[in-house]
Amino acid sequence: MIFLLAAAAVCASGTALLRALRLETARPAVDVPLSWLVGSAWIGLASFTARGLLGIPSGRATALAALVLPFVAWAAARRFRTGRAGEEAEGRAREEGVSARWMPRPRWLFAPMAAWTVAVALAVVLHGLNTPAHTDDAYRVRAFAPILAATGAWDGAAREVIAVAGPIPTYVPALAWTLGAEVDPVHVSASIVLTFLALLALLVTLAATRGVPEAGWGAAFAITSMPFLAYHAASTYSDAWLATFLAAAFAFLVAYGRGGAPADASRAMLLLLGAAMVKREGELVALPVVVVLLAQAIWVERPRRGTSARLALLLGAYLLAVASRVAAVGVGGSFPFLKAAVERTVEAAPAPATVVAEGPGAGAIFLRALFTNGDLGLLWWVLVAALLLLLPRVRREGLGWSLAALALVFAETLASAVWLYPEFTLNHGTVHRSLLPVSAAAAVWLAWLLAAASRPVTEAVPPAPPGRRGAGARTRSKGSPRRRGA
Amino acid sequence: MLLAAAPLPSLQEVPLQAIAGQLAATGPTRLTPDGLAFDVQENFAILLPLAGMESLQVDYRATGNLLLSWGTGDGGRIPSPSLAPWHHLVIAPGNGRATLDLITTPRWSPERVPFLFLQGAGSVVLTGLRARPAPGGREAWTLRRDEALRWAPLRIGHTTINHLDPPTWKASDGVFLFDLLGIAFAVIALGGALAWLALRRRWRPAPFLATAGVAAALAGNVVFLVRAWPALALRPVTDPGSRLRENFHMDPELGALAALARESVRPDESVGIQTKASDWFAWETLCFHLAPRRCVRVVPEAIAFEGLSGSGRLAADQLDVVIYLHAGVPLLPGYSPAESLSPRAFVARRR
Repeated sequence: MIFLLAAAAVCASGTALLRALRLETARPAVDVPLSWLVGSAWIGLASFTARGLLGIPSGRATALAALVLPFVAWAAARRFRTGRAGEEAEGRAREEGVSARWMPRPRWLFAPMAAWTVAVALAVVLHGLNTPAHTDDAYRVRAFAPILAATGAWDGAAREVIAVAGPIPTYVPALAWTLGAEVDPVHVSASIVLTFLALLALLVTLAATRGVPEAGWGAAFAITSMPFLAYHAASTYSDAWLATFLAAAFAFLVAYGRGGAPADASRAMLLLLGAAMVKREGELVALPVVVVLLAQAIWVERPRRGTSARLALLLGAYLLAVASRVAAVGVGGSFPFLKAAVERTVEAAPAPATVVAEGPGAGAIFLRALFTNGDLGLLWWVLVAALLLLLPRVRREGLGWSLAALALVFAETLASAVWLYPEFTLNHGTVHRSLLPVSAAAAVWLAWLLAAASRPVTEAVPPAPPGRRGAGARTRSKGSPRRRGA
Repeated sequence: MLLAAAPLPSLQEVPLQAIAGQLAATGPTRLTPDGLAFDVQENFAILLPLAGMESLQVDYRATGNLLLSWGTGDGGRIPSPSLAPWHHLVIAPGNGRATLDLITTPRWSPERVPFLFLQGAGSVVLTGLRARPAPGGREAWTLRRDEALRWAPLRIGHTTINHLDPPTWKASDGVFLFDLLGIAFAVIALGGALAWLALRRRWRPAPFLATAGVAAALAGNVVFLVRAWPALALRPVTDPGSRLRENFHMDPELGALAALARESVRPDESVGIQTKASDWFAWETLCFHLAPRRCVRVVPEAIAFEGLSGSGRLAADQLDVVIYLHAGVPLLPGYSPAESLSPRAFVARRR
């Protein structure tokens, strides 16, 4: 009950932030799950920056200030902003110009998909909340970090634990405890379970409001058909948390590529900021997507001042999170991943001694993790087949940029598993978990591709934003921002 | 649960008197009018002279919080009981019946004999024992084992954090379920698209990719659902103590002790955990579930003790409470048991 009150406060804070940034979609079905994700990102950023960079101790006052600040920003935005900028108005029109469609077709195909998605969501809620806050390990750093944060601990050991867990897994579950509730580790479980549910709801409702419910249910089904992701959503492991934020960001990234609404780029950026604040390697997982998104915004849209300012603001927030981490644990402690990469490259250091002397190599184990072990379901089989058979459709459906982002995240995961830390692949230590974030993002991308490419010929043209002839059109209409390709 | 409670077909009654003399155990066993009795103090292992069995059904009466692991061995040394996939279940106090699947345990073959490995503290009386023989002939039992492994319940163990056990279709030949499903998907998707091309002169692979993908994924999901169902905790539990007592399947005694400690140690008290030197799992679990109480691991020779992840240091004279669990050494001087689960698992307070 107390957790639900805290969650409502996070959602309210997230809603206020979305309104301050004018990023709400005006569709409550989308805005409610989005506000939980955005509110979580904000609480993580504000609390970590206050503690790590500004030296303000964690406590009730800081938590309350973090919750209230978005409302202040919203009020200020309402006071000082007059009218909508032309680009923003057009972006809205692009979103609102698409009529929502809630029932996917054909129903005989989507009924079992929806049933499975709902069943997994229920199982994750019940199992996640009924079991102690770990299931297969003595304790987890990401479950201990919020307890440290709630008690105000900030010595060297506490800083290290909090930096490893990341700001969101630390400060969101700790919120109720910081405000005075008794520490019950189930808040950690509840936070990630709610994040998982928010992702599923966001995927379904966003796609439906954009007129492609097949993509939303397809993505939710693909994500719930990854047994290992469902397991870790219930067992509350951080990689599932990171996967959730990354997949949510990809939903808006794909929507941006297809519809071109500038607000979608900012929403994707906001969720990437969230991904950057989960785990120690969150920033690096999110980084290539941030780079692609910015390149897309600059190259395709030549964004006007409003959108540019918003993207710059969010990029600044990303850098703030990085700076706070560096202030807390130093550069080496913040980016052991980069340190290892530099060592491996510059010194040409050999791979650390492997645990398994015989048997398949790291590359073979990586391939098995993708295709054979079943932890990720059949996702990569379908993705590879879809890429081979539908590649020409990718650009036409506006999915090229998001595919580039996906490819970069995949390359990062592959490099980590095969080149940087092969010992954890050879002993099956982290390779399967490290594939969860990129797989969740891939599920979203794949669902949009298949939904778009499966439309009957009469529906083959993506919804055209006002003033444009269609997403595939190359000719600029009068008054619309310049777009170079889709 | 239903499967565990219902008698299995073709089970054969095993008279306990007949095997009592051939048992090998790590402690004394007694044949009583009620059955075969033994006491568990931390660990107890028993090898049953029942080679060639694919499953056992055990009726028992137990006291205490016990974890039963089982598997098969060569009759000599008992292998590691938590070898993946770790077969284990909680033995609740009172009367109960457990069905123990042997054929899916690691390295099973008809020549091997079953072992039971109990952890915790309490007493057990085996009041009944039934066994189902594996089919005769190598080909028959290989087929039976392949089928059993295909649908075997997910066994959550210490490596599940890293990966689930890969589902197999025909384990004896190394055929994995998702390889088969992947190939089936590819054949259906490509075949459908090519057939459409031949019939309608149009290349439209996307609907076939989507439909075949969903069908194959659903097939995989059904297998996952069947395998995962026994491991799910679906009955709502509302308080932390119940969660630890009912659903800490890795170590029910530790879960019960953590729940007892949460309820009896005040938030302002400092706690030391005294366990075996090699037992990292117990002290970390207890300290985590007692947080934010100050909690450290007691190391008898140390001047100061450290907490989780190196956080918090306390000296011996700063401890208000010591939680003792099968430490194998005497309780820290100056403390005496205040609330106990068993003589070796208790909460002690400063005298």
